[in-house]
Amino acid sequence: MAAVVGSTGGGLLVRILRRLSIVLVVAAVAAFSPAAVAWATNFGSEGVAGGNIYNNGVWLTSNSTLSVTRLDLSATYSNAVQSILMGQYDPTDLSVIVATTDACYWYDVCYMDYYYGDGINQAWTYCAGGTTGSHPNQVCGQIYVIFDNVWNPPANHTICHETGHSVGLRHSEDTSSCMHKEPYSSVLTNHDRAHINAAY
Amino acid sequence: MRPTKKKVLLSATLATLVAATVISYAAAGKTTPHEPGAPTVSRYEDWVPLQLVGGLESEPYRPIAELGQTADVVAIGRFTEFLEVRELGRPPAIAYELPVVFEPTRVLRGTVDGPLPVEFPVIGRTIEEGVAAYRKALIGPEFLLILRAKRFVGEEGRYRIVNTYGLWVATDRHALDAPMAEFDPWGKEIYASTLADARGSLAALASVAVSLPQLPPPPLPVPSPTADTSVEAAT
Repeated sequence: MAAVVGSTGGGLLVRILRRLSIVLVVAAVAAFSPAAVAWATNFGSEGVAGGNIYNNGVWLTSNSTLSVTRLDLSATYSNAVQSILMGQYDPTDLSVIVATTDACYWYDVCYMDYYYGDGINQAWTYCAGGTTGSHPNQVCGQIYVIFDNVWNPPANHTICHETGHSVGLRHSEDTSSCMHKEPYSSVLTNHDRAHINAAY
Repeated sequence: MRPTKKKVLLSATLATLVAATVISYAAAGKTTPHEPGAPTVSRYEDWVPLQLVGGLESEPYRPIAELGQTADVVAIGRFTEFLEVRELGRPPAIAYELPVVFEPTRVLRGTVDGPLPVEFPVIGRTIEEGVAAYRKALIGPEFLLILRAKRFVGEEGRYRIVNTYGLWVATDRHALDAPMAEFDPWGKEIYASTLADARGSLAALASVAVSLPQLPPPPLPVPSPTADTSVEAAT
């Protein structure tokens, strides 16, 4: 068939259509892949670092040692940090160190709760600075996980969720993951752990 | 002749492709001429400076009718004035709330005596940048607000949107957007069908928001034992 039409104007048309199809396929891949991948992987940094403390975001820590400290935390949150970090994050390829200090220096993530009034968020993850690289692989040198203590959000859910934002996990559509936008779970899924292990 | 003919055909095809691509991109980003009172922001991506990413919201997402069911106020109107930012927290973890005066033109739920101070979290690299983003987005268009009256010490009389799906605006794309939401509401199952029914009309969406009987607002959360409930002075 191709040989028959190849010597005619139809052959030219076939070649043009082939090229056109390649162009369209390439264009389609270029147009849709980034968004599709971003949605499917739910991993990678995003957000504005520094600036106002309400700046939310997702960040990465610098290496596979995840050192965290508890600053001015109530006993409930303090215990939950220990429990969730060791129970959910240490079993990944991250090696977790949990401390209690009165300063955040030298630690990757600092957990604190304070009164921020009747606000729209009960907890969030803020990068105070010390960034390297760019999104979606931006490392933040000083991450704060902040709880608005008037809301007293469920400790285990919230710590699992916001810690995930500190090590690159974005929101997930999986309701069994603590990374769901409205978590009812306090655990990471295999999918979440695979992302962490791939990054660290 | 044949190579020339081929080249002409190929060039024509490629030119058509390029032209079609350019035209389609231009059409996608094109907005209708601005009319007085018409929305000034059209594309969803333009709301990015206002979007809250990664936070855990104080009140969960619900269908619009359920959001409205416990809301203290559901109203349509315009933002008219920016007040001084208010400080919360303590150094180095100071947070800023931006009160913006909202003048309702149509109150669908709740009792409203006049303009309402609605507070928004200041995001961005600086306070000025954060305020500028709100100023660009909020001044001009008509909004539907689903509001919660703030209930803590020192915050009486102030309002916030119930969650990031409590602020709606009609765009010149003949769509409805939720400017502060992390996800495009048209991609959220619980909102997409309602939005389709609303057909780009804030009034239609508002009627959905008040379609169910009003319920009392959710109970106040219990502060943790260590909570310091003092509010620092407004700047």
